Amino acid sequence: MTYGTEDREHPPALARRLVRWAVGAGAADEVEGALLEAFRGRAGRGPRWRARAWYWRQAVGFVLRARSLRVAGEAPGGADEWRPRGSGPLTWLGEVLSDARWAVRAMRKRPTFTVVAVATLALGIGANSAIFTLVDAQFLRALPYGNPSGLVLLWETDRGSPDVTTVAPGNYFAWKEQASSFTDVAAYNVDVATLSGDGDAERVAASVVTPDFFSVLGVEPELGTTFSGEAARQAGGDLVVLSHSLWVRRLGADPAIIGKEIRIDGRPHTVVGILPADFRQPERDLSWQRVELWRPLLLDAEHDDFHSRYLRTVARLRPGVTPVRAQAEMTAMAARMAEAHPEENAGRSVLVKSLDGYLLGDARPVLVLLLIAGAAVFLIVCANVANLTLARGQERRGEFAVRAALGARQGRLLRQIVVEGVMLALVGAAVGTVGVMLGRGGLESLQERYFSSLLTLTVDARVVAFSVLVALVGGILFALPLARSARRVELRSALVEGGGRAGTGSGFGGTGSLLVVGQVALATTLVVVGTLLTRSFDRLVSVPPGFEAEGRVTFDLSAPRSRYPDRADYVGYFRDIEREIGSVPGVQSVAMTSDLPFTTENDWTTFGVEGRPYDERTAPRADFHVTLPGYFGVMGIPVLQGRLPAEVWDPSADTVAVVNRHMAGMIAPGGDALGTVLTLHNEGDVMRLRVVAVVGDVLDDGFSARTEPIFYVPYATWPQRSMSVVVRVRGKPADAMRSLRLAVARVDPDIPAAGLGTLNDLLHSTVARPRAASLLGGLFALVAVLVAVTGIYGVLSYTVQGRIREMGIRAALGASRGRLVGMVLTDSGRSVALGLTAGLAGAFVAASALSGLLFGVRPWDPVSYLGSALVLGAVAALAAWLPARRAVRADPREALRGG
Amino acid sequence: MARSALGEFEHQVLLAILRLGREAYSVPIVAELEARTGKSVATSAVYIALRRLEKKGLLRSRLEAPEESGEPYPRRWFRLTEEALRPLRESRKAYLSLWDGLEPALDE
Repeated sequence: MTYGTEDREHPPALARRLVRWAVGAGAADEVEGALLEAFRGRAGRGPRWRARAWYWRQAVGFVLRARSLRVAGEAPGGADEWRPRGSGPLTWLGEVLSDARWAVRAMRKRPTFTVVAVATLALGIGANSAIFTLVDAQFLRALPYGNPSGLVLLWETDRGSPDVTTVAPGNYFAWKEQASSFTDVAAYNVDVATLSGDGDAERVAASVVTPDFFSVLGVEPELGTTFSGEAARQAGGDLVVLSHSLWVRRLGADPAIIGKEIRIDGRPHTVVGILPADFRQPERDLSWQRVELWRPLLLDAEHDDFHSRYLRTVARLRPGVTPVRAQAEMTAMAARMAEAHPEENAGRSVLVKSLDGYLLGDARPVLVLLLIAGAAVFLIVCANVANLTLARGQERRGEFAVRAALGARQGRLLRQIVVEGVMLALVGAAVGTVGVMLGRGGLESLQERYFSSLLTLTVDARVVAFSVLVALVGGILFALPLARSARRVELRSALVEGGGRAGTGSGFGGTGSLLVVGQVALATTLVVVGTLLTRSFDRLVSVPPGFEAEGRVTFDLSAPRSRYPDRADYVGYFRDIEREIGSVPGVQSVAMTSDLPFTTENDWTTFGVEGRPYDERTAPRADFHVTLPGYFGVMGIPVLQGRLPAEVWDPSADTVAVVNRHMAGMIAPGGDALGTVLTLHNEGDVMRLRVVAVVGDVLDDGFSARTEPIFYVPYATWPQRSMSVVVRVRGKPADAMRSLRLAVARVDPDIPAAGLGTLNDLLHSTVARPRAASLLGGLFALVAVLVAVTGIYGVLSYTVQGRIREMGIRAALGASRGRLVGMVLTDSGRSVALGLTAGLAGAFVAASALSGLLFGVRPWDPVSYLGSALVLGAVAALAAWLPARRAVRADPREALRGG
Repeated sequence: MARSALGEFEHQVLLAILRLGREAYSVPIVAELEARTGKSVATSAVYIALRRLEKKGLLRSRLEAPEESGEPYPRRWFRLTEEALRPLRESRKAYLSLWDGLEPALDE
């Protein structure tokens, strides 16, 4: 609109001046401009006199209201104090706070939505916080050693066999003295020791360590010192460093403990130091982590012993040296050692393994599973809440339009939506984190039973920070779909559509069904993986172990050298044990073995067969156990051929052995193993064992192990001072345990029955990790299904509501109820079908990645996939059918009226 | 923020501004009011209402300089604040409540 031409209409000049006077100088220009525009509009539409008359009327109105105008316009500073609001960072903060207040108000106004959304979010965020707590303890926080990434373990390896072996002292010294990759190398071993003296006799995990062990690990004692080589030699090796828990538990945390003596294995040892509470022995096996006392390992006499392989070694890398470089040096050194000592070191090499890789390697697959499952559940939760938010947002279209008219910039509106989402998520996170804190005990027992418990679990500020972070991400994620659809809102269209009811605007429909597809897909993946893991676990534990575990109690006994120095002494001890246990009421039979099945680290040896050439380098290997002949009967191991040797305590000239079926097949393929003579070679001496019986195969290493060749040597031939006792009892094993413990104490009160438990428990403990995977997989799958189903139900409820009018019309036109329901189901069915397909594909990818956890079940096991798809399809159909049915039931007239 | 009640005319002015979209200046506001109410409306009365509403914090205004608007005169744009919603709703509630049940008697 431009000015300037003379023939434009001008309002009456006097009237103009009156208006300017009435309004006051400050506003005169704008008011005059407005009146001019209106005047010209009227002059353009009708006769000129009408416009002028109108203008005069307005002028009079202004004059009559002059006083009110001035009063109304008065603000501090005068009539033209119509100042625009400022902007700046404080304003922004004020706006965000006001957004937050809005959000709280909105949440309170719709309690059902808020409760459902918060509960869902609490579940998703809480689950992820719990996983983070576990992952934090396993991976993120440092091991309780100084600079743990610089620590490596050194193992010996043999001739391309995948197993590693312990180290001979000669090799240890060579590495220590010659390897340039390490600043120092320490050696140690683990066994058990008996504490006696004040209090009951107690067997604890113990370790013997070279004096540099603690400095290599970078551990400083909490009290006192560790031992130096000199001090240890002077004290004859009778020094000890104790763990924090032992100090507290058995010695009352005595602050003056340093220098005092305690009895270990019947001999007094001087306490020189107490280790910090979080220290753990660097072992993978849970029970060996809890070493409670450390004694000096003096290897001076064994400097050149390359034969006895019993040491473990740990080394610290020199700064700047990587494990790969160290491995290269050690491989070269091992080759040199093999040349220098061909009989002992031929074909042997060294494996350098980083400590954290070794300790945590086993747990990685399960943790990866947890992370995947947690992320999937979280995404499902977000999709779910996004659906709910979006559906509810439809009802608020009018509100958004009004707020946009109120001058809310697009950015402000989007921010409001995001703030609402984040606030919802934060409340959910708070609830979820509280849940995690309350359930901390459960998490700890989970960690203890199924993972390495090398580090204590804390639910602390890091977990809270993680929850908040997840809440922020989640809040933004599920607010986005709504923010996107809110941008397209226009007030006029919103008002016309009557924004009070949920609509099926294309924005909602498109995004909504996409979310449904996503949820179904994720839930399907989780259910398939959970099913695979559960089936795998079932297969695992249904493998027959080869012996009977019901009604058997086991424990370990060890006759200490100090009181049972000679063979006759400890043989006599075990004879008394057998007699005493046998006389306990309820005991059916007693037997002993050097090594129970399903425990690790079996004894093994190379062997030959008499009459065949023997070559140490290529001789076959077998595991062996020393047993009392009654062992097979007590364990329910079938005798397949021959006869077991008679129960004899005194060594006889005729040395015999019993072999398992696998070994019999090895030494006499297709023929008869009975009568074959095994030869065991040890530095020139040869022991001959005549095979007198063949027994059934037993899984020595666990359900997932292969059968190995095993032979059994009678106790009389090869007495041991440590044996495991197996007792078959009548009635419940738990009841018998107390009497058994007392019987053992009667024979020697200073030797406790260690590890007293049932054989069944032993079996179950070995499958802890697969069981954990199965349980967790199943749990997550269940949660995923629940959340996805409620999501589908929620979305479809809203969608269907919006179509009530349409359905009412169709019903009025004669459509049957069934057709209407079918109509709704077809639409949602497409989304569900798409989701199922995507989910099955995703499950295949995930299962392939987790195939390490599967046993006896293929990653593409058709039963699992088909079953999961059917179950999810049925459940989704139900979730879709219910709201459809409810809507269809509605009276069509009501529907037509607008619900 | 004033918690005063909303006069009938003020109520109408707010609604008119809302109907016009995000922002409105006086000329369309007057036109909308006349169109909807079917009665002629004094511009001055509108201005008074606008000023009062702004003082009550229910409106916000900005002055658009002639260079921006392209007009030879400055133009003042008005928009509702969020605080305006509550009194609008209350006013409407009051009307609806008072009208409740009377429609049949007063219908034409």
